[in-house]
Amino acid sequence: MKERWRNGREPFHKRMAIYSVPLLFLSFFCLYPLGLMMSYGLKTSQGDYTFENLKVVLTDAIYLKVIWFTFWQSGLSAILTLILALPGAYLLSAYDFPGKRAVMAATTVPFVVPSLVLAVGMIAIFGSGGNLNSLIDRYNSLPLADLDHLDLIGSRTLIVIAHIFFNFPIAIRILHARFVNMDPDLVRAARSFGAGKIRILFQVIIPQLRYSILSSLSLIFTFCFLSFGIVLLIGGLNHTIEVEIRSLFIALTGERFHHAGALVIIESLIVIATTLIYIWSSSKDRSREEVAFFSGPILKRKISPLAGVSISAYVLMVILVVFSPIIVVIIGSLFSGNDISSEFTFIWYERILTMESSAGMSITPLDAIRNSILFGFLAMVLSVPLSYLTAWAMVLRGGVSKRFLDMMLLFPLGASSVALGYGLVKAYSTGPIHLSGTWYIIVLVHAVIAYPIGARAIYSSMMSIPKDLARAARSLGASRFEAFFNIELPLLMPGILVAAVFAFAVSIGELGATMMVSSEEFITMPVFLYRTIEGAGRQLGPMYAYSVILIAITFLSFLSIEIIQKMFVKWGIRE
Amino acid sequence: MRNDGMGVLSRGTIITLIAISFIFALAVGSAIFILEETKDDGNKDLVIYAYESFVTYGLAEAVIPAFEELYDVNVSIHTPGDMGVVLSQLELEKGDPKADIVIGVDNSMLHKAVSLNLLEPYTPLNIERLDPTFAFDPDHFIVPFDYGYIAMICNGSMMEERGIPFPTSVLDLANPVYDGQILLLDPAQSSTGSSFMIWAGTVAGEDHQGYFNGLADNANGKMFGSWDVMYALWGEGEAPIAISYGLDTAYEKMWFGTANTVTIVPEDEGYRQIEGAGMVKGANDPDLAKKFLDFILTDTFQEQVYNNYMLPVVPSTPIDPAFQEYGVFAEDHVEPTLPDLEENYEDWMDSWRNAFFGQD
Repeated sequence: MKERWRNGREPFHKRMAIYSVPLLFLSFFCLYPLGLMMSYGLKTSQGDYTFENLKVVLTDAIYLKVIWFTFWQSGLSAILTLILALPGAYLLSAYDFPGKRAVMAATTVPFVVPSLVLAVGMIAIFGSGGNLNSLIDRYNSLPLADLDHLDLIGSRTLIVIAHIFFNFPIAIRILHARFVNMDPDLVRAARSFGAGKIRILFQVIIPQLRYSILSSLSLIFTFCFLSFGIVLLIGGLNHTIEVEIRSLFIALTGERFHHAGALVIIESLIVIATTLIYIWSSSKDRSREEVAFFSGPILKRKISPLAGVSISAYVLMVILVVFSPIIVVIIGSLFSGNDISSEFTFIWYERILTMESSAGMSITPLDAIRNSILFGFLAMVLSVPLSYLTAWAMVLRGGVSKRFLDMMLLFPLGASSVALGYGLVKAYSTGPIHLSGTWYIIVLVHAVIAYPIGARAIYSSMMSIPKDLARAARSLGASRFEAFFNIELPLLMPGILVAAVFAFAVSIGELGATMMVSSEEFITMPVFLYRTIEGAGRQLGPMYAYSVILIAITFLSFLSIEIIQKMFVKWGIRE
Repeated sequence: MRNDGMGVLSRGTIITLIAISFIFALAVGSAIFILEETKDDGNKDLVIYAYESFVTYGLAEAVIPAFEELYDVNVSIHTPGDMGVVLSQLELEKGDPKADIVIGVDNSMLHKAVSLNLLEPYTPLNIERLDPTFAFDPDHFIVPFDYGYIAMICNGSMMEERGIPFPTSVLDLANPVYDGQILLLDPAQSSTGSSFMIWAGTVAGEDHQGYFNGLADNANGKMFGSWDVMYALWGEGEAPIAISYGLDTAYEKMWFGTANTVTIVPEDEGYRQIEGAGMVKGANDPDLAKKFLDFILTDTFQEQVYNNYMLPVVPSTPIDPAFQEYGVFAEDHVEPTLPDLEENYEDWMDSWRNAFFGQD
C-alpha cells in the first residue's frame, strides 16, 4: 500500500516554501546559538582557533570522568530499564486481564510528570529522612534487626534508579506495541515444527524484536545522556555532561568557559550518533509493523495460575514504580512531618500559595504557575505548525540531500538544552534581534525543543493515510479544502494532538534551557520549584506541595486538550 | 457545479472554523497581552539583582520600602540564585544590563566580578561611617553592608549520639574521624562555599591540595550548590556538621527556642565574609544607583541587617542581645588581602576541583 503523501512530487517552489519555514526557524533559534557555543570550544580566550580545548576535555581526568560517567549511567540505565520492561511488555501483550487498560494508561504518566518532580519523589523515598529509612527504623525496632540506613542522595546508584523510574514506562510502551504487532504465525509455525519454547524465544521472538530493542535502548540512552534536572538535584558530585556544562558556564572563568564549548561539541556528536541509531532502528521497526498489520489477531492465552501470579506481581511493580514518586510527594505535601504518622495538614499548600511577592520581588508561586500555562500554550501554538510543516517536508520525495535536510530538521532532539539556552541569550542579547530577558525567548526555546517530537508524531499520521483517499474524495466532487478538512485533517488529528500535548508537556516540564534564559519575572514552575528546593530552609513540605500543584496543572491541561479534541470531533469539521 | 480548488465548504464548517480561529486568536492575544503586562521593569526606577536569601530572609522587605519612600521610586529585586548564578546572569547581560545594582558581591567573589568588568566603582558620600576593618576594597567597586563569620556548625545531639568530637580548627575537618559527617558547598556556585574554600585554603597554606583531598574523602560527595539546600539537608539530619555562619545558634534560639546547634569559629582563625553591593557597569539609572549605595551605610539600612543573620558594618549600630549571647566571634583573623586572593584563588579552585571531582 502506498501512501498519498509520498506520492505527489510537489513543484520545486512549493517544496522550498515548505522547507524554508522550519529551516529558517531552526537556523535562527537552534543552529546558530548552538554553533556559537560550540565555536567557543574551538577558540582560545584570545579568539584564535585551536583544538586545545577539545584536547584538554578529552585528556583531563575530571572531564573524562564526567564523559565516562554520562556514558556509563546512560548505558546501565537503558539496559536495566529494558530488562525490567521486557517481561511486562510481553505479559501485557499476551494476556487480557482486568485493569490492563489502566496499566497501559499509567505508562503515559512519565510523559506528563516533569523530571524535577520525579527527583523530588526520589528525595522523599530515598533521602536520609525519607520513607525507606523510616521503614528501616521501624524494622530495626524489632529484636535482632540491624539494618543500615540508606545513604543514597548524591550517589550514582540513585541516578540510575531515578532514570529507571522515569524511562521504564516508556520502554513498556514501545515494546508492547512491538509485541502486539508481532507476527503470531511465525510462532505457530515454529511450534508446529516442534521448536521448544527457548528456541522460539531466541530464534523467532528476539530476532523479531531486535529493532524495537535497539530503538528503545537508543532512545532511553539518549534521554539519560541528556539528563539534567534529576542529576542537578540529586546527583551530588556526579555530573552528566549537561550539568557540567552548566557549572562551567556559571564558573565564568575564561578558560573553563571554552572547555564548556568543547564539551558541547562532544556531547552533540555522541547524541547525534545515538539519535541516528534510534531513527534508523525505529524506521526498520515501522516497515515490519505494516507486515504485522495484516496478519491475524495476536495469540491470547488463558491465564494460568503461574501467569496470574506473575501478572499481578508485575502490575503491582509497574504501579509502584510509576506512582510511588507521585504518591510520596502527595503524602509529603499533606502531613506536617511529611509522612503519614504525622498530622494531616494543608499548611504547606497555604504557605506556598500565600507566599507574597515581598519587597518588590516580582515573582510569586502563582505568577510562576500563570507563566507556565501561558508559555505552554504559546509554545504549543508555535510548535504545532512547525511540526506540521516539518512532517510535511519529510514525507515529500527526494534524494540524499533531502534526507540530510530531514535529519537537520530533527536536530534539536539531540541538542544540549543548557547550551541552547545559553547560546540563545549570548547570540541575541545585543543587535537587531533582541531576545535576552524577553518572554518570547522562553516560548522560542520550548518550541525549538518540542517541534521535532511533534513532527515525528504527525509524520506517522501522514504516512498512515492511504494515498487514494483524498483523490477519491476529489473525484467525488469535493474541493481541495473539503478534502483537506473533511478527510485528511480528521485522520491527521491524532498526530496533531500528540504534537500539541508534547509541546505543552515539554514547555511545562523543561528546566535546563529555561533556567538559562528566563529572567526573573518569567520564571516557570519547574524553575520556581528548583528555587523552592534551594530555599527550602528546614522544611521540605512547601516543595512537596508545589510539586503536587505542578502535576495537577499539567494533568488538567492535558485533560482540557483532550476535551477540546473531543469537541472538535463532535461539532467541528465533519457535519 | 463545484469549482475545483476553491470549492465551497458547508456553512456549518465555515462557521466552526471561524469560531475556532477567533477563540484561538483571542487566546493567543490575551496570553501575549498578559506577558507584556508582566514585563514591568519599564516602570521600575531601580532594578536590583541579589542572591536569594537577601529576599527570603527578609532584609529586602525591611529596607527596600524605606528606600522607595525616601526617593519616591519603584524598586524591583531579582534573585536568580546563589551569588555565582547572579554573577553569571550579569555576565550574560553585559553590554545591555537590566540591573542597576547588584547585592551580595562579597570579599570572596569581588575579584571575579572586577576581572569580568561587571562593576562601576563608586565611593559613597558617607564612606567614613564604614568600620575601617571592612574596607578591603580600596577602589570601592562595592560598598560593604554586612558581615558574618564563616563557621562550622554541628548538630549537638547527633554529635553526641555518634560520639564524634567537636572540631577545634578548620583543619580538623580533613580528619578521618569526620568521614561521612560533613556537608560542604560548591565554591563555584555559592559565595558561602567560596568563602569557606578561601578560609580553609588560607589556613591549610602550602598543603591545600592534601587538605582538600581529605575534605573530599570525608564529604562522600555531599557538596551542594546552594547554602539553602545544604542547610535544609543539615536540618533534616543528613550529616551532623556543615559550613555556615557564626550566628546560627542565635538563629535557632530566636526561631525555634532551642540551642542544639553548636557553632564553632576557632578563636585564632576567624574568617569574615563581608558582603557588599555595587553599581552594575552600564546601569540604566546611575544617579539613583549611587543614592542606593549611599543609603546602605545609613542607620535605616544598618539597623536591619540582623534580618540577614549578619552583623552591621557601621560600628555605632546596636546589636541584638541574642547575637551577643549566642553568636561566636574570633580574636584573630586569617583573611587574605585582595592581591593575595587574586594570586591564590585559581590555585585553590584547581585543587578543590581535583579533590572533589578528580577522585573516585
